[in-house]
Amino acid sequence: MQLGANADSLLALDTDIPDPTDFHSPSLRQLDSALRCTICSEWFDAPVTLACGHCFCSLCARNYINDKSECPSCRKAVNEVHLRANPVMEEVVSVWKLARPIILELLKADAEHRRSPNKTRKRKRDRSGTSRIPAPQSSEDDIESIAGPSNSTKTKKKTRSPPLSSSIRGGGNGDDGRVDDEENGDDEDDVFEEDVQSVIPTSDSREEELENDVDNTDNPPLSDGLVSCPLCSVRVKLETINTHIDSGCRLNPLVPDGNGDNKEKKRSSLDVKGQWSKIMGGARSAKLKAKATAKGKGKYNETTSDDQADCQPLPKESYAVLKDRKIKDMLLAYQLPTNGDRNTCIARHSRWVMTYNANLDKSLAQRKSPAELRAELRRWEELQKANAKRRERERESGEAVGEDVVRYQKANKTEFARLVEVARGSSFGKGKGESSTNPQSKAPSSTASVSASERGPPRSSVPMKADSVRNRKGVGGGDDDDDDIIVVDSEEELMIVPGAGS
Amino acid sequence: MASISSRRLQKELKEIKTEGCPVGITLLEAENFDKWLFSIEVMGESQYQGEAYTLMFRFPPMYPIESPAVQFVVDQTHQSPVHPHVYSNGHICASILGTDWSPVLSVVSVCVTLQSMLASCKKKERPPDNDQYVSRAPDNPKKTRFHYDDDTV
Repeated sequence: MQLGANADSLLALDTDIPDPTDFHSPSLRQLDSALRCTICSEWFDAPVTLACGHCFCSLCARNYINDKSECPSCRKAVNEVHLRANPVMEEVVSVWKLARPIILELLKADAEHRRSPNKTRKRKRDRSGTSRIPAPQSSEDDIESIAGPSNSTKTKKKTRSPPLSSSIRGGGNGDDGRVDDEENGDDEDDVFEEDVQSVIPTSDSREEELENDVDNTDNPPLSDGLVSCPLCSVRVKLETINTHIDSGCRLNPLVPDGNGDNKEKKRSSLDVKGQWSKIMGGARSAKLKAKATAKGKGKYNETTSDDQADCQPLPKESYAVLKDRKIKDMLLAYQLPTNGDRNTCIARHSRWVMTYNANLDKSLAQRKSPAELRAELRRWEELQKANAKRRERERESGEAVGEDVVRYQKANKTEFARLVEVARGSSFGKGKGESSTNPQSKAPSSTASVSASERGPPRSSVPMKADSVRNRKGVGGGDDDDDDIIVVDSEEELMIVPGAGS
Repeated sequence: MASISSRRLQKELKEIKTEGCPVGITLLEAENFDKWLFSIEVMGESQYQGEAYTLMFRFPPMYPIESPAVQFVVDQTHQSPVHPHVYSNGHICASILGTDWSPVLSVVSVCVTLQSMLASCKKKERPPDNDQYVSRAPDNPKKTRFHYDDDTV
């Protein structure tokens, strides 16, 4: 049908989606996938934690919980009100997004270096000569703080780098060895002593290039210990970047070319004032906020950032009891279009509530403006329409089959009626003998009781079985595709295999 | 805009291509994000030694929130395995493909689960209601509401 188009998109996507498999080292690959939502495989976007502790993107979790009130990972019961934003995970992800290209670049450089040691070593020494002198200190600091898990002292880091590069050279078969290499780097000091001197400076210069690429700014290099805030692009001291981000980019908009000590003082005074005005809820905080955001991408004006700071999640509506007029009013209240029939409006509003609430699970600085959310909603609706059309086409192409079923049901109506009668008679526990002598007594109206009576001695009874059977009854009841449904018995329940290892 | 489903499938595909599938499972075809084919073979001692079957995945637009439609391919050259939970038209009765689907499951994890379902089979036989079901089964197994009552597998 759309094979050509899809194949194209497949190829197009292939190049630009970052993926855990970008890393050859198993530990880095695990790190990258550990920071991804298991539903959408993207990095956590507005991560939320459920009551059971599992973490998902807010929108993914809400989307799924809408259908089914259980944790996708462990199936524990969960409710949308149990979702709690996880700002720590959000921060980890945003830092990882920055560190990732740097690590990849370093790994690539190391791999090149390994492949042709003599040539690259010479070249890299030349390059390092220029970049090493101005900023060795700060960029080493950078590596340490960004590399995260392998955080270490300066001397330790020097011993760490060579094993990392050796792991690349190892090729495909030494997986376990590689992990060890990275963890016990100290063992190999002597062997790699020479390499240390060539590898380390290379990393420095490489990283500076990268840092500039990523930020796309023409700020001076990192010799002053400043980094660009990933959110508002304001230059901040590296040690304070986290506090800065946590404050929603309000604290510490430093002037890059000041003296370090002065900046420190200025910052702390701003800090204090900012915190006080936050407590007092005064106008000062709004002013600070406006100042900070004006320096950034200018995403919000003063009013929206204030609005967003105070906003509460939207309640879920029970649309069934609402009149059309009321639903349209609710849409208008958020400047959403009111075209389309009642169902379209309901779908639009409930999706709006979902994305709006998911947006609130982000930290203040990461939140999208209502206008952006509206644009997303529009794109979502277009996608829904396309999907609906696709389904329609499929239904038309597969019509023959559908008719067959209908015809079959009509032709065998009397038979079905008889089965229903038999099943009714056997329900509520009295029908064990009946159902076993008459295996055809499995009409929809009585599946639950039939199955209960059928679970006889031959099957070993596991304690949780009764519960799971009861749960399934509840779920099965709410299906609205009854026309197409055929009930089949004597089947199985499989254990979930979360990982792939067989 | 790339939808969530195609992005997620894209990642699954990339992982399969770089890391390979578990032993006994091979990707046969993944030309698009609608339909993938896998070959599945039970390794080691089992009822199905030396037999390979073809598994077809069809993905709905809401994947992974919605479960994929999974069945064995049955045509002139392919057969479905004879198994108490697999119908002769290729439909599979497994709770994880229906009510117990969870979006954290993936194509590979479904393959592994079905592989282990075959591996643990003691006796090759069709489901007791095979003929009855096959004669009126819908084209898409997702339209069937299976009743899962064997917790032992």
